[in-house]
Amino acid sequence: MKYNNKTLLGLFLGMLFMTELAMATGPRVTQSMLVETENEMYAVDAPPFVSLDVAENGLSASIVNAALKAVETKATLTIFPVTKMVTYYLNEEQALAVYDEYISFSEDEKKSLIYVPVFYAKESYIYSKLRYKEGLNGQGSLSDLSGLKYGTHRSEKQARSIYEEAGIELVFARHYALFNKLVAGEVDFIKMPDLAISWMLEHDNSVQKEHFSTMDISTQLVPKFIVFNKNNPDGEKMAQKLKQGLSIILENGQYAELLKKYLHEDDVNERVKSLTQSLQP
Amino acid sequence: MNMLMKFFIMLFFLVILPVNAQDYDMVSPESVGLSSERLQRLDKLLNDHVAEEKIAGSVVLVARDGKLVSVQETGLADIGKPMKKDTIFRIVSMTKPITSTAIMLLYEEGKLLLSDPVSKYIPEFKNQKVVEMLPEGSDSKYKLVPAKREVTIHDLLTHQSGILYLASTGWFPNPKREQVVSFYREAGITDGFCRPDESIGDMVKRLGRLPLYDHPGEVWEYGLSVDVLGYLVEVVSGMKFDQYVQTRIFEPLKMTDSHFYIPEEKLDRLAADWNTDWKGSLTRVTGPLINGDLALCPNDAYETSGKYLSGGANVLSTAYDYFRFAQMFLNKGELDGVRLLSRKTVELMTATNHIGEHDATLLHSHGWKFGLGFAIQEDRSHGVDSGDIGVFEWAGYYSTRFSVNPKEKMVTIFLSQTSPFGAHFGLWDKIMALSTSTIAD
Repeated sequence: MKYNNKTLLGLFLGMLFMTELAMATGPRVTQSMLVETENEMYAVDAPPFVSLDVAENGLSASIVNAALKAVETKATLTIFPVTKMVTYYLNEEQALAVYDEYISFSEDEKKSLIYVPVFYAKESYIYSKLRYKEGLNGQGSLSDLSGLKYGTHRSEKQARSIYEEAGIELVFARHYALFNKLVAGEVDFIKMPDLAISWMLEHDNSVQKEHFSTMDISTQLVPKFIVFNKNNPDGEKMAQKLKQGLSIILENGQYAELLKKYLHEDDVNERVKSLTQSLQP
Repeated sequence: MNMLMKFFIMLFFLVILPVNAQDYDMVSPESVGLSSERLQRLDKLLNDHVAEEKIAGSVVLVARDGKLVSVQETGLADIGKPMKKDTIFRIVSMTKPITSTAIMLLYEEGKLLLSDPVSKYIPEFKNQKVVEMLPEGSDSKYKLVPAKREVTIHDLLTHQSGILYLASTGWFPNPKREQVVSFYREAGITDGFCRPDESIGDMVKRLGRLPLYDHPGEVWEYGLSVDVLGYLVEVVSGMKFDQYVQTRIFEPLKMTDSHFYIPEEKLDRLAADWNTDWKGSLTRVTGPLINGDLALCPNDAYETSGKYLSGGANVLSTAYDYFRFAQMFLNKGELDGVRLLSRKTVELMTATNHIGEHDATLLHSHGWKFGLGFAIQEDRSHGVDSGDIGVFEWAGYYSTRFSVNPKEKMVTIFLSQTSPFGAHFGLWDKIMALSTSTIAD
């Protein structure tokens, strides 16, 4: 078969044209659509503190964002539904920082971590009035609650012996699961941050607020930390920047305003004071 | 005619006739080129299975040229309750073609493109990661790598997203699958065979932030992809998923006995689920069936309302209703003067080249491809004999199956409620073979 120059030129132009057409109808989804991130931090979804379901990703996320903005630093918060993914990024990819109050670290692991408190939570013990119509109160003594099941988070593991000596069975779970256990009658009372209780009572249509009550047991403010990784090249520097930023927004009143906005409380002085003290060198 | 007589005649038309609505408009097999005698072989097959207590009961429907030829009920729907033509069944994964149709309706309205990334509508699907296992002896068992591209709506329709079913750890166990499912377990993801007390959106938004089993488009993996599509229908249409399906599919097709949650007045028409050892021991299922990561709650179907709307497993239906759905596809998108989908959309859904070199081997063997909602027979070089090239079909976990043969213009539907799933492939294949063998023209 013989080809003259015109035929070959035609074939060549045809190939070019076909290539153009093929590109025009090519895949619409490309790697370039994936977003680059800066100073990426990882958190486990825990509404209303950190969550994609809450405006501005929740109280803790808002505080971190405001503090970093105060020191002109950008960061990205990636929120996962499971602790396993957050620990993966911390341990295997030396993530800059993580936020999840349920991760437990060994003493050895803690040596490479920097804990920066961002918020002090008030916690309460609550029970179901449907189950305890006459009320459920410790009367100041744990032994009065002997034989009951107490749902709490793992950070209380260290205090396990106190409850066990009082004859109280401990059930550990995350906030949302604890609340569901309380509703299902699987535990008699639980301890949770007030903000989390309010959020769940507002968002769970299957329960009514008036069916739950707070026990008359005093609790202390509990710090919520973001944990920076010294093994990340920017870990220590970013922890320091966050502390600086927190100091700035504490001083200019922005921190107190954020607390008031999320907590719906006018008096946030105790929480502000607690964070101010904890940031002292 | 006196007033009393008029009253009784009116009562007859108002009350008695609707009760017998299961007396469908049927034609003789011979009038559409099928053999009555051969059709009896199908009846005998099911009667024998019931007599041997391998299954409790079933309904088999055969139609050709858009005409109902046979709707044969056999055995029991429940203890002391005979199977009826209009018994309601958990069709489980036969929900998936309905959900896919809902997506294609939105596609036809220009509200989405199959090539759209899912993250365009559900932001949680942005920046997904894929699990890669590391060699033995490595410090970590696995690493998470960025997906080469985003999951598209087409990936979800064709099960090429890399999203799994938890239960797949039992079907095809391997360390990577176990690793992915361990994330699912911690995140409280379920397969939707039990109805969790949460909305489909809550579940899908968590699922979107978990790692994929493989890169989108590089795998065929039957899983929760269609549940994601159910939520996508809500996001794009602005309607609850069940309402959308009700008004856009069930009502136009007059599928009056198809529901996400059964109406209270139809509870006594719902078939029970039965456990069989396939050797004559048959027991009615009274509680959840849990086997590893497989969690089935057949009795959740008795709930008359709930939050969860699974696009992959939720629907309850009858043989006649599903026939109307299948016949719409056979008619290239139209039924009884109502056009649901365009001919071109049906041709797109039933095309065999959606999954490239992969095969849809979960229900079938090699030679079957996957369209937009169901498996399609591409060639005859496989071990399952159920008809012609171009046949499309899918099945449900409690032993239900439908098959549409465009060449012969036939629809075959088999509905039973029997566990476990894996034991029924032989029976299904025989039903399809016998149904096809009734062709006598």
